[in-house]
Amino acid sequence: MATCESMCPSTEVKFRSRNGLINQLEATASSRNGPRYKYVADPQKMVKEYSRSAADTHKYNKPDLLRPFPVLMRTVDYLLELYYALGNRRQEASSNQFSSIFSFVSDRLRSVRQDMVMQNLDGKSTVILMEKMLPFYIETDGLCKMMVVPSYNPKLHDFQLEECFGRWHDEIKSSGDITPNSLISAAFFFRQLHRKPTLLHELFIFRPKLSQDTFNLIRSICSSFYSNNYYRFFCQFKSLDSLLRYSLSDSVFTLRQSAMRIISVAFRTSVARLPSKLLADWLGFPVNIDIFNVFLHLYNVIPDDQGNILVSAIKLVEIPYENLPSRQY
Amino acid sequence: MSFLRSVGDYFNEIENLNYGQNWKNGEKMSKLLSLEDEHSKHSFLQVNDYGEKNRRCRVAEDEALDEIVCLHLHVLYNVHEAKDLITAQSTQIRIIQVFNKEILQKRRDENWFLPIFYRLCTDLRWLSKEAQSCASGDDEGDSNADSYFESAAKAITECYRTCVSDVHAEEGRTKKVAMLNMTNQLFQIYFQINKLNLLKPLIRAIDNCGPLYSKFLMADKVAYNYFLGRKALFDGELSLAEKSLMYAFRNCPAECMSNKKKILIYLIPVKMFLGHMPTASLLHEYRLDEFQEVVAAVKDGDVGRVDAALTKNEPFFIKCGIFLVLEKLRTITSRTLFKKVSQIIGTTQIPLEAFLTGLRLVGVTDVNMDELECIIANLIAEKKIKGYLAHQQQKLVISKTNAFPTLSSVTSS
Repeated sequence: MATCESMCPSTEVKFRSRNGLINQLEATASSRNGPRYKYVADPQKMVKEYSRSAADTHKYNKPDLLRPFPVLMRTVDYLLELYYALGNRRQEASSNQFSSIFSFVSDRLRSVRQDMVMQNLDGKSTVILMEKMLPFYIETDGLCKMMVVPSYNPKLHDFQLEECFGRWHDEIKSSGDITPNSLISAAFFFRQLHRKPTLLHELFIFRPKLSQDTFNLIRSICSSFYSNNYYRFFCQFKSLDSLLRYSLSDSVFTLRQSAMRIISVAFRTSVARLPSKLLADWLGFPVNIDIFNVFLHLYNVIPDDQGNILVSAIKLVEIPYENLPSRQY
Repeated sequence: MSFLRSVGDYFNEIENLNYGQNWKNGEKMSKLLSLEDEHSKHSFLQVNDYGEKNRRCRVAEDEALDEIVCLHLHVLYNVHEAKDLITAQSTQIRIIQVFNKEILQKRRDENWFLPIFYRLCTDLRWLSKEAQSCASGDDEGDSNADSYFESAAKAITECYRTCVSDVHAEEGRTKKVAMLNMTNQLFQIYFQINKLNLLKPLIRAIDNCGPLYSKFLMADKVAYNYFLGRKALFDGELSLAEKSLMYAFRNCPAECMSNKKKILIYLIPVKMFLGHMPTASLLHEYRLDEFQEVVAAVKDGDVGRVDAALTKNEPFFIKCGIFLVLEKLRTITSRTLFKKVSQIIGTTQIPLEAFLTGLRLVGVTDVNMDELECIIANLIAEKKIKGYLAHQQQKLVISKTNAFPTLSSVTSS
């Protein structure tokens, strides 16, 4: 039975205040601009932090330290509010403010999941919480792969996203009466697109849980990706919800590489040229051609004065996974 | 086992078989520990708790076998009497664990009991499937129904490790011969829970097992190649898929029609990707008429008809797990269509507009010129068309010789 009625148990507030472990986002307005050890905890802003519990589980598994479902909901809402207040997040992603909010929210959501697991929350509540926090993880996954975010740890973030999707999927699969959110469902499949050859088979198993439109959309994107139909893939990509575009970040990266290989073979003669604007359009790059030109640089290609590229000049190279320009759109 | 009239008869039978410890007796004993055998239907063998050893029949001095037999009776009770398949599954896991600890690990230079072990694993798979169905149907069931298969895989994997490390035994008595059967058991489990990536080390171990491969049973080799071929098909490794499935098909006895049919369900798409279409009579002989329309449409280069045929037989293809594989036939169907158009035009420079017209004629209306270039570019990159795209001229320029090479000659992996 969880009995903690605040976002952070009072014992933790005291402990962290005593030991100078207050995050800037938890400090009072008057103290937050000073040095960290002088931060004063604002009880309204304090959120239980994640702590490893494996070695001493019983120490943390006490009712007064665990937040019940309504408090967990309130906590998630509060954390997401902090994040969504950032406004144009694609532009803000490289800022220090983004980095610190991202890191704070990510850690505190992890602690929400920890409370959830410790009190063995039921399936429906788990799905509600997961569907609330997953958009944050999906969006930041895409953003951090496009911009340099100092506090982003690819392995940790991937692990957390995987954990959220795993919990969500297990509950949906084992329950007959929970209808999953269609965006989350699509993002679940899109995220795995580039790594699971049997994904479409799983989609058919999952089909009864999806609306016909969602099923058709996922299937169409998957089919385009697996058949290397970059044109159809990116046509659909452009009209997708922004969350789904973030969830396809890795697939965009993979398919663009395949497409460059295919184009360099199929259009190659010693003199053949292709308009770079057309190529940018085929590969889903934004209208601003400068971004595409940075991508072309990776292949040793520079457009001529008329904006055409010499196909035979394309030098196929392995692009590192963490490369930022090849994920822009 | 209709001669069994009491628990005593049953124990005596096991005891007798346990005296002559050879492979044949192992096979006979495996039936007495199977859930499928006739004995399992006798209510006097469906015992919840067999009680203290000194107050009941026991199997000679063989403590391990005694425990296994009693646990088996407990499984029979849970399957037939209590209808508690979840407990039955966990008890079967216990049997496998005891078998591993007391028999596989302790009995050196012996392997006559492997047929029993194979049977126990097969029954564990069946029970895991049943337990999963129970859990999925129960609102308050386990949140992760796959856990039954996972626990089964864990128990079998532990035995696998024991058998693989049996390197000192004499040839003919090594437990390493169980490797292939266990790999097949794990293949089936991982197919169920879609964790085929876990099979990589097992496949590598079979690839590197050297002369031991010749000691494996043919039935296990056929099953292994069937599973390996299926996996290769999903991974897009067509050469391996063809080789493995062909081996399985050729070595599967003719009287095993249903097994041969299962193999064909995967072999047919592989062959089609390689440009070999099955005959109508073969499809009919193995009752695979669902393929007839698809094959005819692919041969004709009729993309629209392929879509219609796939939709018409969608439930069958999905059930077999090949619907999505067959969807990829659209590419080679388009290629056949483009080949026909090229033959009609009769030159090496074919306007893309002609291909677009061809697609329209077979009912494909959602492809524009850019997408057509993309489809043809893929075919060129895969070497299924020899030539290049002249974007400015909006033409496909094909090679003067062999512009559409046979698919089997270009599908390298």
